[in-house]
Amino acid sequence: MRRRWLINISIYISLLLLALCFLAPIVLMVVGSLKPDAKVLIEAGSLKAVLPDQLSLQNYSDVFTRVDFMRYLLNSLLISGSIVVVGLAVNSLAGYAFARMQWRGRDLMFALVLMIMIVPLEAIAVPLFYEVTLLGWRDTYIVQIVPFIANAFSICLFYTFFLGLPRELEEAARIDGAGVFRTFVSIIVPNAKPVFATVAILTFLMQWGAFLWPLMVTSGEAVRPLPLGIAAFYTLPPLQWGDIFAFGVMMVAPILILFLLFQRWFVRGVAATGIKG
Amino acid sequence: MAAVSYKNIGKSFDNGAPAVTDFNLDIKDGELMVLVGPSGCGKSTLLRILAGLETASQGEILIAGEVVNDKTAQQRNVAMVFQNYALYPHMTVRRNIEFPLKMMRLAKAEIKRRVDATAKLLELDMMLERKPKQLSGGQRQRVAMGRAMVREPAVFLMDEPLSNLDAKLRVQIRAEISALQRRMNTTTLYVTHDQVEAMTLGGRVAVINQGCLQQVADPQALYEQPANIFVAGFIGNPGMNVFKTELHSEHDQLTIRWGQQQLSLSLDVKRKEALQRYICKPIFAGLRPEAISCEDTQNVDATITVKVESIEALGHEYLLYFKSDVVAVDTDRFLSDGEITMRSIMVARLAGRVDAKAGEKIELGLMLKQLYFFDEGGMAVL
Amino acid sequence: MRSHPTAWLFAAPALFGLLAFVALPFVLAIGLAFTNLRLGSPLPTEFVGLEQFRRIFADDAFLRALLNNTSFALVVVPLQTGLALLLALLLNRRLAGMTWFRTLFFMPVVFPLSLVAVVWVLIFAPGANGMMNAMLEVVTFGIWMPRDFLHDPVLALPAIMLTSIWQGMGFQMVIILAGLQAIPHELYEAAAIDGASRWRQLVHVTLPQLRNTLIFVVLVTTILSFRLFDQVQIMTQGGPHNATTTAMYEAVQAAFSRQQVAKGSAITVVLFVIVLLIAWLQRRLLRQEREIV
Repeated sequence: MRRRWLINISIYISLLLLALCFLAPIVLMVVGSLKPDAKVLIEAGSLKAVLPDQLSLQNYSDVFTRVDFMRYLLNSLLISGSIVVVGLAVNSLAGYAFARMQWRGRDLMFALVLMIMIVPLEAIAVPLFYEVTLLGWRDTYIVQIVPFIANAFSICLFYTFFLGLPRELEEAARIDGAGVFRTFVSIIVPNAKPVFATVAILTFLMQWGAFLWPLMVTSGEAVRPLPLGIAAFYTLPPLQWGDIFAFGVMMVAPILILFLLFQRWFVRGVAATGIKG
Repeated sequence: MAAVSYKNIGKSFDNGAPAVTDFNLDIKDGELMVLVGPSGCGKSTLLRILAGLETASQGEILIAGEVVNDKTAQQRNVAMVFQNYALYPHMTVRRNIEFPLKMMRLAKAEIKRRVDATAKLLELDMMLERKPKQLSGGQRQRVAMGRAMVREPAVFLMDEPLSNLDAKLRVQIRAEISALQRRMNTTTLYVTHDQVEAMTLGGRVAVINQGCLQQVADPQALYEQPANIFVAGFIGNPGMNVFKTELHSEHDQLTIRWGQQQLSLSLDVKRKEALQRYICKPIFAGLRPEAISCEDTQNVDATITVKVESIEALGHEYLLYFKSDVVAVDTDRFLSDGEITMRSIMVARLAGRVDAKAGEKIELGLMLKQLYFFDEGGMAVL
Repeated sequence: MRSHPTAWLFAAPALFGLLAFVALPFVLAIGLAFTNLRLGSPLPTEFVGLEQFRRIFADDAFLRALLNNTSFALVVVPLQTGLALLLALLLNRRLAGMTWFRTLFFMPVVFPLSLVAVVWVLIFAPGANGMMNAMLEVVTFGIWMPRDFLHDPVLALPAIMLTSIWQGMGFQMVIILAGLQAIPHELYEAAAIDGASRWRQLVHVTLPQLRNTLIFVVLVTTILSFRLFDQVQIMTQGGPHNATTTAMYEAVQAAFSRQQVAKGSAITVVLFVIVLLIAWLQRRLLRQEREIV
C-alpha cells in the first residue's frame, strides 16, 4: 500500500509539472492583458510575468478604441453561429436520409460523402477561391458561411448515430400517423440530442478559429472575423502587447466559457472523431 | 371494427429468399387471432405487411373488405404494440398516448377526454406525467397498449407484446389483454413464438412455419387434431413424439412395428378404414408425451423397454427423455428440407415420481389409442 | 422499405453544398493545375500539361516547404502522440482531481491557432527578457545564451513545432483517453490473474487494444502536419529564408501574392495526393488488423 501511495504522489507531481507548462502561456496572456503595455515584454522573462505588481483594465478599453473589436466579434458570432445552426439542420437531414431512407443513388452518394471527408479545405482552397471570385462573393459573409454548411464529417456523425436508434420508434410514429418530416422533427431530433451537441461543438470549435479562408476571401475589416482581427492587431503599430493580449482574452472568452460549461460535450465530441477512425 | 383478409400474400427478403409464400387467412370482425410459429417463420413480416410497414410482393390485404395495399399505415387505421414497446423516450406517458390523436388533428378537448379515459381503463392515470424510463416493464407495456387503443383503431396489432416481461407478469398481462380484447371487441392480430401463450389467449390460432400457414384452428383442435407433423410437434409442451414405422395387418388386426416388437392397435372402424391404404407402407406415427406412462394403468395397451437419457423434475410432473428402438422425427425441421431429419430422443411426461438413473433400462407403457398417423408428406391421416 | 420521395429533399441541401464547394473545386483544382491561369494576366489561359508540376518541383522554396512539412511531421507526430499517450495513461486512473487535469490539458485545444501563434510570439521574444530564453537560462544554470527564436534559421521551425504541440496535444489526449476507457476491464483482470505486472499489462493489453486509436491519432496528426499554415503566417511568414515555409504557405503565396492560381492549384493537388496516401495507409493498417482478428 505504501508503494501505491508513492506511485500516486509521483503521478500528481508529474501532472502538476506538466500542467504548469501547459498553463504558463495562458497565464502569461491573461496577466499580460492586465498589465501596462510597456511592462509585458520586459517582465515576460521574470516571475512578474505571472505575479504582476499592478493591474488595470486599461488594455481592454484600448482594444475598443484602437480597433473595432465589436465588429470582429459580431462577425465571428454571425459566421460561426450561422454555420452551426444551418449546418445542424442540413447535415442531420442528410444523415437521416442516408441512415434510414431508401432512394436511388443513395449508396453512390454515400461513397462520395466518405471520399469528401478526407479532402482537407487546404487542398481545395485555391480553386474554391477562384470559384467564389467568379461568383462575385468575395468580401461577404456568404462566402465565409455557405461553403462550410454542408460537412461530410458531420453527416457521418449523424449517420452513425441515427443507425443506432431503434427502428421501432420510427415505425411506431408511422403507424401513429406521422409523416417522414414530422417523425424526424418530433421523434428523431429529441432523441438525438447528444449527436446534435457533438456536431454543434465541433463545428463551432473549427469555425471560431477559421483563419486561412477568411484571409483569402476578405480584405476589408467589415466582414472579417476575430482570428484575422488579432493577426491584424498584432501587426498594427505600435506593437502593444498588453492590448494584444486583452484582444486575445476577449477572443477566446466566449469559446472558453462554452467549453467550461459544456466540457463533457466537448470531450465527447472530440472523442467521437477518434471513434470514426 | 373490421374483418381482415390476407389473400395470396407473398413476400421475399432483400436477398430474394421467400419470407412468406401464398398466405391466405381470414380474420373475422372482432376476433382475436394469434399467429404463432418459431422465430423467423414470417409471422412478424405478416403483421408488418398488414400494418403497412412493409409491402407485400404479391397478393392483397383487405381491411373491412377494402384492398389497402397502397394505403399508408395511418389510412389503414391500424394500431400496433411493439415487442420493445417503442415508447417515445422523450415524451411523458400523456404525450405518448396523445401522439396518435394529435396526428389525427383531433380537437384538444377530445384528445384530453380520450387520453383520460384510456389511462383510467389501463390504470395509468397516476403516472401520466412520468417518462417511460421511470416506469416498470409492466407499466410500459400498458402505456404501449394505451397508445394503440386510444385511437380506437379498426385493427389492433401486437408483435410479441409480452416477451420483455418476466414470467409471472406475462401470465397476468396475458389475461388482461385477453379480457380487454373481449371487452373492446376490436379485431386483433397477436404474434408470438410461445405456443403456450398462443393457446391460452383464447382466440383462434394460426400456426406458421417457413412462411407458410400450417393450420388455423381453436387451441383445442390444434392439440387434438394437428394437421401435420410440424403442428403436432410445435403444439404441446413438450411436443408430440413422431417416429417412423410400418403398418401391418394380421387377422384384421392393425399393428405397428416398434423395433423388434409388433404392437397391436385397437382402433375404431373409421380410423381403421382410413389407414387401410397405408398397410405395408412406411408411415409416421405420433404419440404425445402425455400418452406415455410408467404405471400400468388401464389405458396402457402396450409396453416397451427404453433406455433413460435424462430426467427433468418439474415438481408436479417429470419429463423423462429416453431412447428406444424407433427413430424419432425432428418435427421442427420436417417441412424445411423436404427430407426427414431424425433425432433419437423421445420424451414422456410422467405424473408420478420415477426412480431411474440415466443409462438404466426401464419399462414404459404406451396408450396406443391416442396414436396419431401422418403420411409420408407429413400430413395427418384421420 | 419503399423509396421515399422525400429522401432526396432531405439529402439535397447537403449534397448540393458538398458538390458545389468541395467536389467541384476539387475537380477544378485538378483542371487548373494543368493550365497557366493567372488572375489579371493579359495572357490567355491555356492548357500547359504538366508544366506547373515541373515548375513547382524545380522551385527551391516549394521543395524546402515539403522538407519542412516532413520534418514537422517527423518531430511533432511522435512527440505529441507520446506526450498525449503518457498523459492519457496518467489520467486514466480513479484518482481525485483527474477531471481537473483533463480540463486543463484540453484547454489549449479551444484556443484559435491564430491567438496561440500570437501568444507564442511573445514567449519566443528575443533577448534575455523573452520567457523561453529566461526559462532556458534558469534550467541550464546560465549556460543558455538568449536567441531570437523566430528569426533563427535553425530554431524557427522547432519554435513553431512547440507551439503546435502545445495547442494540439489535448485533442489527441482525449481521443486516446476514450480509447483507453473502451478497453474491457475484464482484460486487465484476466492479465492480473495471470500474474502480469503493470508494465506487462501496458505492453500486452493496453497498447494492442489501443492500436487502432493510435493509428488514427498518428495519421490525423501527420495529415495536419501537411496542412500547417496559420502559425507560419502569423509567427514567421515562412522565414527566415524559407526556414519555416510550408506547402500551404507556398500555395497561398502563389495564388494571392502573385495571382498564380494555376500554380497554387498544382501545389494543392500535390498536397491532396500526400493526404490521400496517408489516408490510404491508414485504411491498410486498419484492415490488416481486421484480418488478424
